[in-house]
Amino acid sequence: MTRRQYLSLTAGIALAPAIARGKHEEPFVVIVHPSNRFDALSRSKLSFLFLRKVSRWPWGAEVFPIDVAANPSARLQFTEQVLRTTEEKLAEYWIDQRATRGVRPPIQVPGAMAAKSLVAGRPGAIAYIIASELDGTVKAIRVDP
Amino acid sequence: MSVRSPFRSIRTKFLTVGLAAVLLSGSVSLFLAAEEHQRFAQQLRSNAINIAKQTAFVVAPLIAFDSRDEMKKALELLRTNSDFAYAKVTAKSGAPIASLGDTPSAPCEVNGGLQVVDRGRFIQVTTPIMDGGETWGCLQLGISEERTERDASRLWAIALSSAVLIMLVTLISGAYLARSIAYPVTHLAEAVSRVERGDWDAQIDVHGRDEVGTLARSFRSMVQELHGSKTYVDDILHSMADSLLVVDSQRKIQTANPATYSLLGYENGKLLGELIERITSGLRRLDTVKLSPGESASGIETEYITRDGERIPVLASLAGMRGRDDTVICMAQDLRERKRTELELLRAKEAADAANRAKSAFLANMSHEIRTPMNAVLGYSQLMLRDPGLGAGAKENLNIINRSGGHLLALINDILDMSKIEAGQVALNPVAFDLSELLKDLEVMFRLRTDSKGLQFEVVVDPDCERYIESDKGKMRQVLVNLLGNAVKFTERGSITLRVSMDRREKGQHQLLAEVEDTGAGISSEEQKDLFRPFAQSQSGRDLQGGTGLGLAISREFVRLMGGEISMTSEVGKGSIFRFEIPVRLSDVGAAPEQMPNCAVTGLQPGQDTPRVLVVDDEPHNRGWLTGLLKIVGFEVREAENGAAAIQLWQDWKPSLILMDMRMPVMTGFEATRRIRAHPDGHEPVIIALTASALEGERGMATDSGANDFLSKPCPESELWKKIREHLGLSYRYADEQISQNMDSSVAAAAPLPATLRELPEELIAQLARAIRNGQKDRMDELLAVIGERDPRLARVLKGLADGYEYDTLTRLLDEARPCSKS
Repeated sequence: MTRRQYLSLTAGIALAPAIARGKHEEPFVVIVHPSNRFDALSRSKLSFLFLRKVSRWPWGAEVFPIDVAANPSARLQFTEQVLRTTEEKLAEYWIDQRATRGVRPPIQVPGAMAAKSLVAGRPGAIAYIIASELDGTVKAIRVDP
Repeated sequence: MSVRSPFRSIRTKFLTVGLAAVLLSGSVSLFLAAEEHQRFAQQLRSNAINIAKQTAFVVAPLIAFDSRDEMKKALELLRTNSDFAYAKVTAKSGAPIASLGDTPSAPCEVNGGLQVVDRGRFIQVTTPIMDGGETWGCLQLGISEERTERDASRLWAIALSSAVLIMLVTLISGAYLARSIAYPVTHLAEAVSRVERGDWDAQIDVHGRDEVGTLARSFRSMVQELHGSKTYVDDILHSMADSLLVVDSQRKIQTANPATYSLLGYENGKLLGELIERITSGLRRLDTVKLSPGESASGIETEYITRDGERIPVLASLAGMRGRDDTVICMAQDLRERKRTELELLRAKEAADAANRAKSAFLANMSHEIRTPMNAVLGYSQLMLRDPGLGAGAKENLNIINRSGGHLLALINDILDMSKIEAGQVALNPVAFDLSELLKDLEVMFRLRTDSKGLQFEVVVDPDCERYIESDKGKMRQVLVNLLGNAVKFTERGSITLRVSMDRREKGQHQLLAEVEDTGAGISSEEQKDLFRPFAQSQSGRDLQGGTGLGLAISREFVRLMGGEISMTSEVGKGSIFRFEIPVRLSDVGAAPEQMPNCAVTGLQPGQDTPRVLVVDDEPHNRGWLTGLLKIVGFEVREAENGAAAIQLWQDWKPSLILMDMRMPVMTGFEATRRIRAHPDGHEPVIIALTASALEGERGMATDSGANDFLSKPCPESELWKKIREHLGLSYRYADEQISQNMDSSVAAAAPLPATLRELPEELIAQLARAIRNGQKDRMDELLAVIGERDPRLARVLKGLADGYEYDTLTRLLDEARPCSKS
């Protein structure tokens, strides 16, 4: 299976509900630093990472989640499918987190280029981009249900 | 510098300091050990917490990512800690995830926060495993306390052993210090207090070269020196024969030497601390004077009181003690022996004085008694010489008797004067008198003698010489008579000159200078120096076998008594000059009391009562003389021969005047006067005492017994009239012609007596001559009294010759007055 095929497959599995909703949307893919030991992560663990409930990787590197603001479609998909919440509730969560724990939401970057560059530069970074924008500078991991 | 220290021995101080050091060091060590122990426990505890926190930090993502293998590896790493005991990770749900070691069965409380529990051998830390605000599980970590306990035990061991070591070291050094300092110092202190108590032999067995040793050596030598000086002072105090006391400001006796104790009869030491009043009734100076140091007072006669109460006279001297205010040193000398000696001397002197008085009295009495028989001796020898039938040999013998009698009489008179002088009974009796009168008398008196010896006699009176002067006339006269008498006696050829002059001195004082010059034998210079001593006679004086050798001695004493001095110059073969100088006072004529007596009393003024006079005397011729005189003047007179008779007569006859002789047999005049005065009417009569001749002491006795006044026997007639006039308030008739009341027998001889004598009845003259021949003195006095009635002046002159035993002259005069005399 080529890389392209793999990605489409995974995206297809993952985003099947969205597709099922009838809306034509490009699937997203979760990218990490190429040195990351994980090849796949469960959806719940992924949500722990992006909601900053786990701050370090098991080998000790700091978890650095990145939000891509430029693509609302991908963001929406990620919020609904991975975090399983709405945009409004997510906003409330961060307000609460910031007030009670001083934790900020993940940084937002303008587009896939910036996201890839950041992830490539930081071993603990993790982000999601449109699958078509994936290239060899980062490592894509599978999202298990 | 003075260091006051509470009374604790040096040993106690050392012990206290050592104990404090031991306690301090021990407690410091133990405190430090406990601190360290605590620190160890704290460290272990914080280590355990750190390890737990780190482990929880590491384990948190491993639970999140469910990395069990990784977790195991992470727990295994804990074993590298040597104190690790066990670890257990439990999931949030309580399900065990991983464990290592001998884990406890207790569940891990996730919500309990960090807990630390001491489980005896372990410290268990329970901590929740958190990340990203999420609690992922619970960690139980056990850390062993074994190593820490072991370290703590070692620490305790070190601390205790070091405490013991310090204690030992302290004790050993304390013992050393005690031995090297405290023991010698204590020993020294004991020695000092023994010395203080007076144990000078106290041994000081402290040696060594340190400061204590030096101190001990210095102390030893100081004690020796102190002992030496104390012994020295003690020796002085013990050797003193006089009492010595030191009295402090509280008047307490501080020191008393052995002489004081033996003087006062107290046991040694009994007087210390006693008040000075216990042994003295009060040293005057101690009572009143506070002597400051250096001041002193000596020669204080006071008394000490012995233990038995006896008073001992002492001569005390006081001195303020140097360096101690108000402390007085009192030295006292026992005066008992001296007082005894003084008393003996006083008694001896009194005895000597009494003996001398007795001698004087004896001489006075004897001379008085001798005179009476001498009357007969001289009178009869002179009468016998007139017997024409007497052989030449018998005449010569009679002459010898006569001369010797005369000599004896002069001797008695001189001895009487001398004994009066020696007894100090010669008093100066200054009177105002006419000097020219006296000199005239003397000229008349001596011209008779010089004429009979064929000598020239000249009296030269300086024109400046005052006529009326005040001096002791009687003594001046006696001195001049003496000097002139000597001049006549020792001059065979040539002349005799009496010169009198006067020097004016200040304040009415004048110096009278009298000089008697002769051309006699002269006196050798060897003899001159003894000339004025009693019984010293010149060779020529002895050759002449006349005089007593008392004349010049008496003269010198009289001149001295009058405040002058007598001197002489002489050359053998050429003659001598005797001169004396005496101070005299001038007197005006009116004041001279001689005025009255100068005129002879011839009778009482008419119109007065005839006073009754009682004459009391045991000697008939004395009574006769007085009775004669008084009868001549006109008094009514009676006689008594002793005091008892006088009293009887006074009671019967009531005389207004009694002339009382004091010395009489049966009853003395003193006694009679006393008895009369004791009688109720005894104050009435005037009593004039006739005191025995020489003894002036009798006058005091006479007035003491009650006599109004006194007259000395034989008294000048003038004195008698004067006294009677004073006491009875009479007035007299006087003769127109002035006659010297003191006319001497020689003077009388020169007067033209035979003419007046011839006017007397022949019978009276014959009776008088007979009485003289028979030596009947009282008969003579009777006859003279009768003559006095006719011619008082003649009677006085004759009486003067009779009293002077000039019987030869008297007989010659009477013979001349009787043309029909046998001779």
